[in-house]
Formats: sequence, C-alpha cells, structure tokens
Amino acid sequence: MDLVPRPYGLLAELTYRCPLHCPYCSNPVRWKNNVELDSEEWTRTIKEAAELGVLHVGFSGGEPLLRKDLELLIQAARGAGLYTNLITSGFGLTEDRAIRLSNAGLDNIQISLQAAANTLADTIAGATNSHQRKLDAVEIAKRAGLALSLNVVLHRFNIDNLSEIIALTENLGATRLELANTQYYGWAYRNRAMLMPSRTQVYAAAKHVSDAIKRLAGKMKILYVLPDYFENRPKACMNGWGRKYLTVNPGGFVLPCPTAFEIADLRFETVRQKSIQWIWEESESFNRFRGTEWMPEPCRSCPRKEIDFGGCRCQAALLTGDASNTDPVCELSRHRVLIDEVISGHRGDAGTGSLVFRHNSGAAHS
Amino acid sequence: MQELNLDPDRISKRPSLAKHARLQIDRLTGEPVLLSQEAVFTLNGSAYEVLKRCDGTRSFTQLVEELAERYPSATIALWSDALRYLEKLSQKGLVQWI
Repeated sequence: MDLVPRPYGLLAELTYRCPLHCPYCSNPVRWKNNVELDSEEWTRTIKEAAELGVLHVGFSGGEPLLRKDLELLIQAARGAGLYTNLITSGFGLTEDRAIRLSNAGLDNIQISLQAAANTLADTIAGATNSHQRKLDAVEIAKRAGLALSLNVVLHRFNIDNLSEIIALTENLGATRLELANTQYYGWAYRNRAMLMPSRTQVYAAAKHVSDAIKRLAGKMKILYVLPDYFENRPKACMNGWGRKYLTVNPGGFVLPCPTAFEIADLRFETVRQKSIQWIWEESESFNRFRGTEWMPEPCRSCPRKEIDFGGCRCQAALLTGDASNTDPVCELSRHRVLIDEVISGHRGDAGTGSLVFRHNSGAAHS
Repeated sequence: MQELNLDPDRISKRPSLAKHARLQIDRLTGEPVLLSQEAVFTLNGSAYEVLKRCDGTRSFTQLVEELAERYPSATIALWSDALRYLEKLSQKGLVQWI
C-alpha cells in the first residue's frame, strides 16, 4: 500500500460567476446552478485542508470578489496558518475593498490582464473599459500595500505582443508575472481552433520569455506555462494526480484539478457529505490516478513516468475518450495525430468561425 | 565558488524578507518553511535562524554578530555562508536589501 502524500495547495473556487467573458476560460461551459458553499462551509473546508497539511490557498473562480464574505474567508485561512492568494480580474477592487482585504491578512493578489493595449484587451475580456479598470485595480492594490502578481493568458491574438506585455507588467511593478499559454479545457477547448497560435509564434514567444527571465531575475519572477501541444512530452499536470494539490469548486465538489469534470466517468465527492481528509485519502476519485500503478503502456515502462506522470488525465479524456490513456501530447502516444492535426490546422473548420465568449449560464447555449 | 560582495556599503544594509514572503512553521512536520506566492521552500535550521532576523531592522553585520553570539560554536564561515544564502534569495526576489 502506497503512502498517501500530503497536499500543499488548495484552490478555492468560490464562484463560477464572473463579470468577464474571456474565451480562453477553463471554467466548465455548462454547470448546474448548484447552491454555492456558504461562509461556514468554506471556513470548515479551509480548516480541514490546513489540518491535512495544506500551506497555500488560492481564492479564485469565476470572480472571487463577487463573494461578500471573501474577507472572512481570508481571515479564516490566515487563522489556520495558510498563505493566501487572491486570483482576480480586479473588477470590484475598490480602495475600500483593497484595504479590507489587506487587513484580513491577504498575502498576495494576482490580477489578470488580457493584452498590452486597451482595444485588444477589452475585446478579449468582452467588457468595455476592462483594461483601464484593471490598471486602476493594480494601482489600488499597490496603494493598499498588497503584494502584486500579474497573469496574462497567451493565445494567437496576443502572443505576438509579448515584449509589450512584459514591458507593461514591468512598469506596473509586479514581483511575479505568470505568462500562461492557453490550456484547452472548458471554454478554451470550445475555442481551440481560433485560439491556437502557430509554431512560428510559439518559438518567437519562447525567445522573448527566456530573455526577459534573465533580464528581470531578482526584480520580477516570470513563470512561463508552456503551450503543451507544441511539446513532445506532456506537462506534469498538477505535479501528479492527488499528489500536491486539491481544488474545491463552488458547489463543494473536491477535485484533483479544476477541470476534472471533463472526465465523465469519474465520481467526485463533496464537502457537504465527506471530510476533506477522507476525500483526499480514501475516495475513488483521488486514488484512481494516484501514483503510477494505474498506468497502461507506454507510460508504465517509461523512464519519465515519475517526472510527468503521463501528462494530463483531463486532456486524455477530452481528446481520446479515456482518461487513463497517455496524454496525446506525448510523442509516444498513439493519439498524437489528434494534436498534430490541430497545430497544423488541417482540421476541417480550423481558423474559421468566431470565438464563443464565455457567459454565466447553467443552461446550454450554443 | 561564487564571488561575494563584501562591499561595506552592502553589508551595512538591512536584509528584509520581501512583502510577499512569509516565514512559517509547517504544522504537519514542525519544520520551518518559507512561503511565497506559489512556492514553498523548506528550510534547514540555520536558514531559519537567518531569515527570522530579516525584518529590516538589523544590518547584515548586526545580524551575523547576533547569530555568532547566540551560537558561539559557529565557525568563521558563518559570515560568508549567511551572505551567500541571502544573496541567493535576493536573486529570487525573496529578500531585499534596504
């Protein structure tokens, strides 16, 4: 019997509601309008996670600032000894709110930007004046004394502007910048053909990033999330299934990763019925792909199996129909052709049609 | 062996943990950790003793003298080890020299 590892990080998705409409969002496209967890349920969840060993909590969503009890939850997290991170669009961050968040003990705020310039940024977010509102939020966060990180999701429409994006974030005085190539789940998967950059764009971007990382060492830490479709080996998704991280979604479902509902034949537990400890240690969902024993070939005998853990289960499920398959990104996967088709744009309607902008609805919209 | 900046101007500055970095005891292991944005750094005992004193109130020189007094068996390498460690963290944006 393998020892169950202790978790380090909790992603607390407080709501799927969001005022923005980014087409690369990885939130589920359809979700039942489950009753969101209330303050007491979240507080209990946070405490249980801390007892299990979690050291970091990220408050996310949708847009977490839509929750009026956010300060209460941050306080509860700090009280439980957790490092707190707020992952936000910045919409709703008034001076007053920023001060209250700071007083509640928020350790770090991460604000998203969509581009280096207003017009493109507003178009991607699907909201008027979005870019300016975010720049204002950045200044408000700094005035309130909050430590600042920035996040920019990269895709075909903004990847050519990487040097302007990096320059903007440098001037805004963030200590950390996350440049995240779109990961294709949820709405992003829906919009994959339109969002996918070309290989030329990806190579050019990698060069800009590596130069910036060197230039800004000690001043701004840059995390670059690779566009895994253009790699030959898969990403070490979540650092392994049920190994370091857990997500609790707005309805209280406890997931090994935020997109786990892409795996249709797995049953997930909720905090309303079971403890975090039981779910992490005993549940079928967390144990199903934990470790390496479950792996079929070629992963099973692969020397990289404890490095990339066979890649992403959700991606295997989405693209091949079976979550236990090797992530098709891997060049050893018999499904690699599915990835090659997409990146060389040979699929029927690749590049045509328009982006479907994210919207808050439990109902199926086309 | 990395060059150490023993410039008196440098070592009279006060090392301070960055605002986004927090020193903590991991309740599960009882061991000290440094938490920052998305990272967790495990610390050994001497790293913890150095970082505990990086609150921006002591110059590097004062910090080392304090450590030397507290741990009389510490060797002459304490100076260079502590400086090297703080420079490494400074390169990662975790410590500032004010």
